[in-house]
Amino acid sequence: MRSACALLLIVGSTLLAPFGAAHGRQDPPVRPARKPLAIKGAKVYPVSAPPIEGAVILLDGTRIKAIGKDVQIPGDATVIDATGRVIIPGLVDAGSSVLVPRGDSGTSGSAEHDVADGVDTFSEEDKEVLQSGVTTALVRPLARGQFNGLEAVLRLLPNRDPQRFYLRRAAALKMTLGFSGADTSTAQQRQQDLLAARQSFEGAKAYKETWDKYRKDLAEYEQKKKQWDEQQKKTPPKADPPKADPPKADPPKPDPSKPAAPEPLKEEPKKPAKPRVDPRSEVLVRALDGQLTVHIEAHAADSIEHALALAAEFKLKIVLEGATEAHLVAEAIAKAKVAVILGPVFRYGIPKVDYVNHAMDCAAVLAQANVEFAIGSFPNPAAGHSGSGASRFLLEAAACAVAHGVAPERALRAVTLDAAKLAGVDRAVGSLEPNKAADLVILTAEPFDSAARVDRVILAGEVVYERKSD
Amino acid sequence: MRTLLGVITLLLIPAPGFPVPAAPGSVQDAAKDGVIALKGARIVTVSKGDIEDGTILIADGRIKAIGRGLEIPAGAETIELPKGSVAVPGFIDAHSHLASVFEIDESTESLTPQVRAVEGFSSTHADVRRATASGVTLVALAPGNGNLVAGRVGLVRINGRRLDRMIVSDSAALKLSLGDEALRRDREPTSRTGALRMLRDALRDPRGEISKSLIDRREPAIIHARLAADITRAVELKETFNLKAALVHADEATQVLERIRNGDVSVIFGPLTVSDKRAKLETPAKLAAAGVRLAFCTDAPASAEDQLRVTAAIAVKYGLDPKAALRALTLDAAALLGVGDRFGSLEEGREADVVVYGGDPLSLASPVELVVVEGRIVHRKPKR
Repeated sequence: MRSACALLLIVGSTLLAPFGAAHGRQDPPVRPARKPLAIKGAKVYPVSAPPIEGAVILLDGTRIKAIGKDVQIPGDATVIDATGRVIIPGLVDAGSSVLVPRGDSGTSGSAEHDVADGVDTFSEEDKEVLQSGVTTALVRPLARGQFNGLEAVLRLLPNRDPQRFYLRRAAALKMTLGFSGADTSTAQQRQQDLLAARQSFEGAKAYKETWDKYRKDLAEYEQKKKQWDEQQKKTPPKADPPKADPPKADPPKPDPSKPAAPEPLKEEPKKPAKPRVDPRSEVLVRALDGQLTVHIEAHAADSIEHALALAAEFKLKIVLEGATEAHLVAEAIAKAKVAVILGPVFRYGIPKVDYVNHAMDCAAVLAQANVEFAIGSFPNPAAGHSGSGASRFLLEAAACAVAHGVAPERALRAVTLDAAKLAGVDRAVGSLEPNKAADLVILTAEPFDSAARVDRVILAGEVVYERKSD
Repeated sequence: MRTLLGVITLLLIPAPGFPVPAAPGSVQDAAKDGVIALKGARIVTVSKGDIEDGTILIADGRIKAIGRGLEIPAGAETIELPKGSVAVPGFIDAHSHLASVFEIDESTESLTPQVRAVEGFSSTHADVRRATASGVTLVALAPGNGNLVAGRVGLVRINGRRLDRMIVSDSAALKLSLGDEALRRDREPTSRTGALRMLRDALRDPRGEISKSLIDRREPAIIHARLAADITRAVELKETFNLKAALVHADEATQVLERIRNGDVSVIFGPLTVSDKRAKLETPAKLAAAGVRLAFCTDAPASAEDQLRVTAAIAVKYGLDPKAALRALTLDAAALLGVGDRFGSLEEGREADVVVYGGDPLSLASPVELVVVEGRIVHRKPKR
């Protein structure tokens, strides 16, 4: 009994605390007493609004204070002249595994595993990623299996400032249908995967019902116990007679508006037995309650359809990850109003079944079908990737979407604001607006121009990368 | 009639080392195709500079005229290209196993110069269909790395036709392999030293097919060599026997840059992937800066034809001059494969393999607007 209570406490603190903190943490804390930084002269893509030529961006500490053509630059501000440059928000890679140790890919995951527990903050593998303009990453557990763990959103701060490094923990539950880790699937395995997933959520439902019933029973018990205790007091064993204190007032008259006193209990109520606490089910219940978005990695068209079916059956809030064959089922995805984090755009290696219909125009088809989407780098061994290097080419991945007919503004949104939205951090990052994080990238040319180089990266108001020369 | 057309078909296959019989009923007549005029693009001829707002006249599968303000003959199909579009020679993948998965090595012997990579090629494979829209119009099909002398590198055109009409040459080059892949326990060579001995013996045997190909006919040797030591051996071999040679998969090329340049050996590099380390991504830039002739390859299925431009774009991002990148994708690739007089540049009399991009060809955001191969339109950008 005691151990169950302790477990509940642990579960509560590991699972629930990050949620509480996460919502608070979405807004980057303000760090005062730093000289304001003004960047002037550039063409700015705020993403949330049309581009502004020759804008001034005023940063105050870690946030954007003002943005526009007529923003006054305070006298004490440090000024960066970015005339002829182009500024975009820091890129958001919504399909990343930066700083997640490679060895994790061989392990088997579980719903309650938190990817943040494995993030290697001492690694410098995010350095080149940051230099390519990616400032925020939704990192996914690399573990295999159907439920892979909880995702987290990182801001790639070189100083790893713990207040700001984890922008959001337990951002989503990552699961996989049809394909797991570095394998390739068959139609039968994909079918079985759906059945297994259904069983897991049915189990979680039953778990929830058990606990709901327990809580109801417990409330009832506590009420009865109180009544029993009072009942016992009224017929106390004969004790010393009360001292000669005169009664202060008449005993209260029964109030007719109140229900009549309950029947006296004949026997002492029994405390209901407490069910077992299962951390995995706790997480799935949060998903069933709509408090936790489920990111389902699915590549083959049938797996994507399975994901949509699962979401409908259990009323899950889902986002598709990867979705290699999304172009084949774009209408169904649109109809289900499910968003997609698409990737990888670049595929290498002998095609695995799940990737065989990989198409460079997938994003264009989704855009045409009005599917909400972001583009992620998805450094996936099965697609011929290793390590987090793919994140360095996030802007190139978006450029490929443009070549196949996605409007450039939409493609840029897919690696900034829309990516932030699907990672649940769009209140903090993803666009250049007052009060949002001072995370931005100064480019030498238009974002999708082959001549565009990252000139400077500013993260939380500080220049964290500066290009050496032309 | 059918046999006559068949004969014409055979004649149209440009001088393969080993004639490939035409499949019956495969005749799609290039001669019947009319004159096409491509108008309004910036033309990157590669060999003779750029032409702003130029016109390309195409007839009989070749470029009839190219320049500004050309008179367009009556009856020609005129294609007005969108503003800002750029016409380039079709890109050339200088080392690929496109649509030939599992068919690339004959591993029972180590010297198999008679093996032809085009014979393991499946022209109806989905990857070939996809390649049509990629902007790659000529692919060097190579045998694998498993044999010391692996076989003939062939050239196929991505022209949407059947196999016999795709093959430009079934013997454009001879592929050699210096590396671990060619060493086996169950047959010679089992060691690097043994490999070099076998190769020298083969090149010294005047009656052997290997010396006939590389020394008598001066066909290029395409030599797989990853390690700096293997690259050095390849350059020595080239110099000893005065071969025409290009390295492929030369991962450690920057370690022996001087040696490669002084030995006048070309390098076929690629694919660059998004996972590669910075040093690899910077290699093409360093090779070009040192004056080494460079071509790109997909090494499909290691990557795919639509990733050839990605490799070039990544190389440019990591320091390669864009002009050098375009040369590597076109004329330099054609030259090192021995077909620089037909492919890789836009000039009067050259093969009409033209790709039109919606903008800068090295910007991944520029769509492929139009692909013309052998004077025929094989792909247009789908409307969205």
